[in-house]
Amino acid sequence: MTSSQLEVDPTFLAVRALGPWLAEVLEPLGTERATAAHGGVELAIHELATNIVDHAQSTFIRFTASVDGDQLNVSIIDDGQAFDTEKIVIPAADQPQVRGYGFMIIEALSLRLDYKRQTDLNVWETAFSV
Amino acid sequence: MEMSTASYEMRISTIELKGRLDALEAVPLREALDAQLALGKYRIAVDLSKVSFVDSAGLAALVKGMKNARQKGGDLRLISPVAADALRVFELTRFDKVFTMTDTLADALVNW
Repeated sequence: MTSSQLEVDPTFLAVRALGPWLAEVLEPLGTERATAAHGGVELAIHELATNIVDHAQSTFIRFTASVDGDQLNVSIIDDGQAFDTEKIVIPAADQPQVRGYGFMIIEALSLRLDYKRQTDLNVWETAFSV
Repeated sequence: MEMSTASYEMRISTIELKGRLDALEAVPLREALDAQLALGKYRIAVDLSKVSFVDSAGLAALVKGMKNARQKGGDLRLISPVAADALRVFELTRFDKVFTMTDTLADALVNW
């Protein structure tokens, strides 16, 4: 099992590098499995990354991914402000409010999402069926 | 015989988007929607058929536009994305049931 790493500046533009990077990560699975998994994984990781850009005031975001059998494990690390998990409010589906859909989307697409504060770093770990 | 005639002008604005509708592009979309509403154009059709990716920020811009338009008696309707990566966010949040989403602009104009 090998892992791949991507580090980007905390900007919405830089986060767009996620899609091509995830395509490379998933490539060893073969075209069919990689294509089936890519869109959902990209959306979930993208949502987490844009949340970091929006709120963490970090200087970098580092993504590490590895495929283990039929599971893709991804960790996301930044050096920004600690995240208050109490602030996560999952809106009811189809209720027309304007904010808060990011974590709802991540929850729907991932197998799990864990957060811990490690010294001065925020560490998110998530996994997907692939 | 009495006959009366009337003519009505139905003002519908269309906004066509291409590429990614993500956090970066949500801001100009919000501004474009606000500009239409400020002009008194409360019926807005947003064409997403050529959009490749939509995230929650893009969705939020559309939801805000829809809410504002409906408050003024209008609506914001969507021409559905073709790409699965663009449609996914609507399905996950079930906003595909909240927006009027059609396959073509002509369909969006029906009964409007």
